[in-house]
Amino acid sequence: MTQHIPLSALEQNADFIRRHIGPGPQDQQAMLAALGLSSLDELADKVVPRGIRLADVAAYEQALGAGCTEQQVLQELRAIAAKNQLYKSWIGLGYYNTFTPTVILRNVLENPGWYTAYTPYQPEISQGRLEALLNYQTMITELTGMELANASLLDEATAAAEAMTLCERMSKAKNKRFFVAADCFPQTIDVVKTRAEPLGIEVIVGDPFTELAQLEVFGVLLQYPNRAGEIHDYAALCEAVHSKQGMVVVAADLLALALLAPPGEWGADVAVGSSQRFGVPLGYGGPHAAYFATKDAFKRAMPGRLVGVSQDSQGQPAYRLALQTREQHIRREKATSNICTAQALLAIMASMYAVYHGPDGVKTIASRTHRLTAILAAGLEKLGIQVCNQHFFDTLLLATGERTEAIHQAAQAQRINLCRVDDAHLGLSLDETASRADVETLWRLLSGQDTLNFTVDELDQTAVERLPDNLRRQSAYLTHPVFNRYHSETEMLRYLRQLMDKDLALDRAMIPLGSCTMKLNASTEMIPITWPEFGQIHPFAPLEQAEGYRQLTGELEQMLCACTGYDAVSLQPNSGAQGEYAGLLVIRAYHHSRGDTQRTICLIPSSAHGTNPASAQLAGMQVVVVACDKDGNVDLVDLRAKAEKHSAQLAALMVTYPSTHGVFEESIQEICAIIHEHGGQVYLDGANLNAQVGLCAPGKYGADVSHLNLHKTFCIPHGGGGPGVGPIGVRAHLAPFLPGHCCLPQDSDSQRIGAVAAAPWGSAGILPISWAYIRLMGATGLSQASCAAILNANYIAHQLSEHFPVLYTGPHGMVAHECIIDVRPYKDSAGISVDDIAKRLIDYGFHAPTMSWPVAGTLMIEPTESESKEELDRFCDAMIRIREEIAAIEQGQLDADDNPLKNAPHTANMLLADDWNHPYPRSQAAYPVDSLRSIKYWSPVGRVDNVYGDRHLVCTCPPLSAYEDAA
Amino acid sequence: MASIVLTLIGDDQPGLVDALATVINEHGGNWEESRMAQLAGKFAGILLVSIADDKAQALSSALHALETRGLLHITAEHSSVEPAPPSRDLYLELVGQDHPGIVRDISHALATRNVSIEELNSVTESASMGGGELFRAELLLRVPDTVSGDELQTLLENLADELMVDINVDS
Repeated sequence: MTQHIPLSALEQNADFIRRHIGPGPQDQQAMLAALGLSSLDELADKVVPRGIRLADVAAYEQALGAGCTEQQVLQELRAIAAKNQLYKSWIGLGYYNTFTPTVILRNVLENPGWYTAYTPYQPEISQGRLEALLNYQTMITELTGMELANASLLDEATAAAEAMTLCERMSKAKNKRFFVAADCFPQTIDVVKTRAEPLGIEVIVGDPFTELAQLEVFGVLLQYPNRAGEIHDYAALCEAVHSKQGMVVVAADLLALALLAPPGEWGADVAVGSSQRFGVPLGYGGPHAAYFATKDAFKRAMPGRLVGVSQDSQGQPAYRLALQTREQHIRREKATSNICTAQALLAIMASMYAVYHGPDGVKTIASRTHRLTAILAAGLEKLGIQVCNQHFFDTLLLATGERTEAIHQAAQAQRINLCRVDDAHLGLSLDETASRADVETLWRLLSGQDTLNFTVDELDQTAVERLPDNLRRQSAYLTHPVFNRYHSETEMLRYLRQLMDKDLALDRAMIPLGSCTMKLNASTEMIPITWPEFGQIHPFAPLEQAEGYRQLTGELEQMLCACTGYDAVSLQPNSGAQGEYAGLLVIRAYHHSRGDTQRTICLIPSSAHGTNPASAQLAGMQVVVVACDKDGNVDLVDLRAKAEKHSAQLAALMVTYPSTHGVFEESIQEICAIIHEHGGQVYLDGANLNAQVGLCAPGKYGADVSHLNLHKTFCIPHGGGGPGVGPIGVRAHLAPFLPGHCCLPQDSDSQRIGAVAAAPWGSAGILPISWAYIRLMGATGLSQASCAAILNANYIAHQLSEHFPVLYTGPHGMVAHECIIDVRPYKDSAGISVDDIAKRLIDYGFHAPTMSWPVAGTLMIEPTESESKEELDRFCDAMIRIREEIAAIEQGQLDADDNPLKNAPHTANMLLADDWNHPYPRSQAAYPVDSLRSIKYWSPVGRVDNVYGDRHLVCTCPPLSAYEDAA
Repeated sequence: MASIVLTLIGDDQPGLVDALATVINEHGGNWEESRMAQLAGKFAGILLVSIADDKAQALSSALHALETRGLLHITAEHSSVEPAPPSRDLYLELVGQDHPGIVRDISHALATRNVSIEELNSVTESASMGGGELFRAELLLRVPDTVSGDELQTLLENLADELMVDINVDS
């Protein structure tokens, strides 16, 4: 008789946990056995210090509940989404409706080949997205008329704040005043002010045409077209500012630049803006890519990543991240930007929008948007409604007088959102989705008349362009062939596929990057983000239209509190580094509220992530470095001494836990206690939360605030270098200081810090991913995931320890959720560097682990819980085989200079050359392990030369002739 | 009194400084200032000795004897310190991609502005994340008052696109 299986087991309610966690029960047992352990509990007991283990497991389990099935979570999210109301929003203010070309929607945004890729630090396996990002830079450079554009920043407001600090550094004017035109977007002004205050920069908001002449400022921020849609000629203003050594930043609308003279042609030093309206869904505020373009002279000071052209080992053109010394440079306390993330996936979407439409298509979209706005304006004038703009592109300011409230009510009744400027004015912005029917609806709505005695077609005959004559665009843009050859869908589809196939993302192989937590981004978690009810909500839509988002963000905040032991969460910061910065501003505001304005010292262990000191600097704190012992742990004696020495000025300690060296330090509670004794607050970097959820909670063992990289622990995909999402969790005493936002109702006695991101809930559009993950896993699933992550890391450390030195372990010889192997010895013994091993791993089909961080000359491996034992074994086999190759060099069996490591990666082109003249066979180059004969990733380029690229800096698409010359 | 500047280099081994100091002492020389370091198995240094004019020749011969014993290769030059133009100390930090000739390029650029390098500490290390070799240097510079920090920064940054230069006054 067969054994009776209860129905509850047949219902597969915990099925997702098994799908998220790579190794099944049997494999887990085998791995535990290899470590001499019998259960995950025993593992957790050995790795996680007893003193910090979650005391109240019942409360944790109650707060997070049990998991659910994938069907169930989609159903629940459907119900939440249905509470968001899809009004037609003509609000504008930097966010516009757009049609995402479906070929881009399906093949980029919804395609794991793009969204599961990592930041392209390893250029050989990233040529596809590097090309897409180079297209983005080319598009921005040409549309803005600037010399150089980066590969995107977090949002327009942050980009403007970054531009302000660039001006402060680069301007020769010796003052600390920055002028912001009052007609900039309100969220931009809010974020700029937040950024300026701790840096001691005075922000003056006013009318540049009347107030600037009397002032000495190092920089000016202008909006083009401005908030009211007016298009000003700023050329004379730029000259005046320059004559006093100041610099000019222009926040410009990308679509408008298709018709308007670009800022680079009339004197801007920096141009910033959003590329959202190039096909990226509104998503209730994000994620979107902001652009940042400037002059070549300021390239060193430019924040963010920059893609450039170089050449590979075969002399062929190849892309890679350029000027990376800039990033090395910001990893320190003198930094002026902490930006470590871009919005790669969204920048790629925007660039593909331009590839898809081409210059003619973009111009047509801009012209249609403008024509409809001009027709709308002409009709409104006929109807007796005063249009305040002299000139406009797509935005009108209407003097609606005492009818304002009535019109607003009528609009709501017709499910239309307008921008309510004040009691007597309404604003509206059309966009590429606007139709003639929309124009007619707006005429009726705004005039209150049902019958119109003119038609769109009639006005189309007479409506003239309302752009200023002297600011009409003359120069060409999107001239490169890439923007002119993929205009049939077949061609577009194949171009996207061709680029994607060049890259190695999680859909091909494990990406064992230490500290980066490249875990599964489950399809079910991803599906809701492109539902219109999540994707098409304007961030400044009335709150009651976004009830679904209210519920989602509220519940996610509660879930994150339960996972971390904190009492409150802000979802606003849109990257890990922004989270750090926001967390420190909260600490600062707390000290100030108690009159402790002198508390400005921030202690940071020498092992910290480079963004830590950079963030502290931005938050107006002075960094004091605390020593680490030889095991990489915080040196308690030094910590105590420094805390005592700076007791009266101590603001905070920034500590990473488990440490950046991947170890659960036993003394974390003592560390927190020392800081608290001296009146400081503990900022705990949440980068390594993946080892903690369900096992220990920072908010319970002594930390006061953390940022939580949702793109690490909580499954938001890395998208090839962004979106990042970096909410912060705080204990109750810090909750009153969490970020506010100018577009949210706020009490007059609010103690909140200003906005740190353009949108009130940051990258709200992708929060369903983390909500779904936590809901699917439930309390038990999440703790199992933490244990499995620790198991996978320890298994790798164990398998490799016979072959490589494993640095840093806890008291039981165990690592946390990542391990560091030391490859420095091979430099002397075989002339083999970290780079050689990383590039050779490509031949084996793997992305390299994190290189030379936190210790130069090492590899840090984090497998995450999502990788199966089979994949871990495949990786370990590759590493062991590489070690054997190194041994062969050491023993003289392989040539010291001409060997498979030095020549890696091997491209098909190299291997199929008629004259193969290396002293090792082709088969050893291409198929060092047999399994590669059936599944092989071919690197599209040989090793990329960083030095060559930086010495011949090209950061836009090179003309095709460049390729012909090289071929 | 004569001021003699000695530069010396030899295989590192215990007792080198002792041997040198003994010789100088025996010949009535005074060890004024020195900078010495060990690198890659070699011991090298620069040393200022003051000595009575009539004893200088004997010291030179004795030092030469050290060389013939295979200990140190030594060259001696008379110091001719001229009154320096008004100048100040600047502290400079630099990071760039390592490549052959980087120190030559930097020192050459500085020399064109009559900037003297008082101290130069440099390392190369693997760059985190992106890989490749980074060259990091900290320099203490004696800079004529006619040369501004900004000018110096521009001068050095013009050497390479990716070269990042920070200048602090007197730190």
